[in-house]
Amino acid sequence: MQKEVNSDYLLWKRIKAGETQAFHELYMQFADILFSFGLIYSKDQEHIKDCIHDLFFDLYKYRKNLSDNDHIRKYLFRSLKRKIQSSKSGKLKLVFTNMLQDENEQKTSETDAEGGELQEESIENIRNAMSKLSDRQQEVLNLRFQVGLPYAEVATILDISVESVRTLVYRAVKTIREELKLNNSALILFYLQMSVF
Amino acid sequence: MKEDNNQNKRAEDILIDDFLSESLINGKIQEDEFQKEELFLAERIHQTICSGKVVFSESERIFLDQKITDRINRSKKNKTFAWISSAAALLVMVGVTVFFQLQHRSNIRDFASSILVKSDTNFTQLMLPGKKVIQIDAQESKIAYSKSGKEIKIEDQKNEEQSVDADVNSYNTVIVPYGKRTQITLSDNSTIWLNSGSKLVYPVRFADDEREVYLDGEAMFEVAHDEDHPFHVLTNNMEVKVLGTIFDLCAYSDDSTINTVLEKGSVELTYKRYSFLGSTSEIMVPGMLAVYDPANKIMVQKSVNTKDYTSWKDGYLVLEKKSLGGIVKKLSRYYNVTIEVENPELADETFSGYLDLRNSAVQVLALISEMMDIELIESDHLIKIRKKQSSS
Repeated sequence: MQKEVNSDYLLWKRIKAGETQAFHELYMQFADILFSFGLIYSKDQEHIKDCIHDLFFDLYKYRKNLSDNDHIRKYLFRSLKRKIQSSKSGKLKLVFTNMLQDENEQKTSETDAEGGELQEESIENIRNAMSKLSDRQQEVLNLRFQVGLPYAEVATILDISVESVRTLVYRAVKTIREELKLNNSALILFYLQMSVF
Repeated sequence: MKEDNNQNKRAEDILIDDFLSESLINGKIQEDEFQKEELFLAERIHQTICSGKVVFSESERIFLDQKITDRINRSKKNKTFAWISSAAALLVMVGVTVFFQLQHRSNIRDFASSILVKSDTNFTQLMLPGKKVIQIDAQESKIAYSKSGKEIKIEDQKNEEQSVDADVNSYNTVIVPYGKRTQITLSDNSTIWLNSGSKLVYPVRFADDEREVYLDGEAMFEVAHDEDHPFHVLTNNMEVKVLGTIFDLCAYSDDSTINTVLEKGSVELTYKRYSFLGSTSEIMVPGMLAVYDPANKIMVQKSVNTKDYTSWKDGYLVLEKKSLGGIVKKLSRYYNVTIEVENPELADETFSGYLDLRNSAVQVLALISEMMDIELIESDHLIKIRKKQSSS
């Protein structure tokens, strides 16, 4: 852990010195996770890429104003979120585009051929239930599970306590479950079917 | 903590727990410790959330990296000139020559592109700052600057004067129409033979640290040696840096390639290439021809007889297996006549020989037609070339 902080610190120093190679290294290290992070705030992939481009160039442009103890990850995530949201009209929309759904459904139905329909249905139900959650709850679920960030980091990015993040996740999942029960979901049917085998 | 504890866990308890959710994702969870229904629900919720994930494709990721690196380098180039200069000093010590720079010299390029060439004039034009234009009628003219750059001798007789106190961003421009050539001696004593249909831009006074000129078209350079003031020739898509040498640079904007032929000395060419750094450079040795294709960003070098490429300045062309199409293009520029090749397959046929350019275009073409199976049809401003008709 300490080691990681140190290597981050060294890279940060090179960034501040304006070394092109350091920006390349930083990019390679963060490109995937930033892209995945960006998808939570916009489904427009081109827009996300533009924002990542601006993020790195701004970092270069304003490198002299950076303080020594800035945390790289925190800086990148927060700035990217701000960029994506500020340059986009309207309120933030959370993930799930039809296109994405199709792709993933194809994948899942391929892997689980038997009961595929029911499974799709269960995912569709969960998706519906999720869409009824607050924006904040959806954001937290996505940061935690889709991007795969630890609670502490989600907390830093959102500027709230780790406990609040956990509570948000907990309540969100609970709400989804209750929503599904209300709908007397196909999930249970599917579960029963599965347990026969 | 114990198994029966896990039995009470609901989906939210499983997902909120770092260890359990991690095990769930990796498929390493002890399934029988949990209520199947809850475990299943937790799994499906996780799966649903992750279904929004899109993989950042390798190629797109690399492309974006390149874009960012290019952007940073571009903004850097304006500032790191001093550093590159010291790198160049090192090269001079080794005795090789030259170094390069591509982006920072946009001033002279901008100025050059702001000048419109009137295609209808038949005069060679020398444009001085303040909109003064001197017209020169001679087929082969001479323009010579004094050491200070103040006095300009035209055709060894007419004298012009200009102020050299102006700022670094004021320029002289020479425009040579098709059918004419001019020889320019600059204030540093470098001589440039400017071929037909070409434009040369150079500052009224060279900067303190370097000499730079801009070329659109073809010119032969005999650069006065001066290590402290490297000489740059800029074209639209390439840059040549020299310390003292003789070379021909053919960069007509309506040609698809830029050709550089080095007769003596050494030059380094800087051009754009598909790479992380955006541009790259290559050293030339005497006797080489470098062909650069800006559209595809490809550079090829090959060994040639340099006289074939530089002899135009002395009034003749040495051609060795040159395509008729290429010869026709050269001649029509040189003589300012339109030459048409009727049969497309003729354009690829090659010709070798010595052409005296003091003869007229028709005389020169007649010579070619004797060697090849072609005939000429002459009209006012047009010469047609076609396959010899076998009858009569």
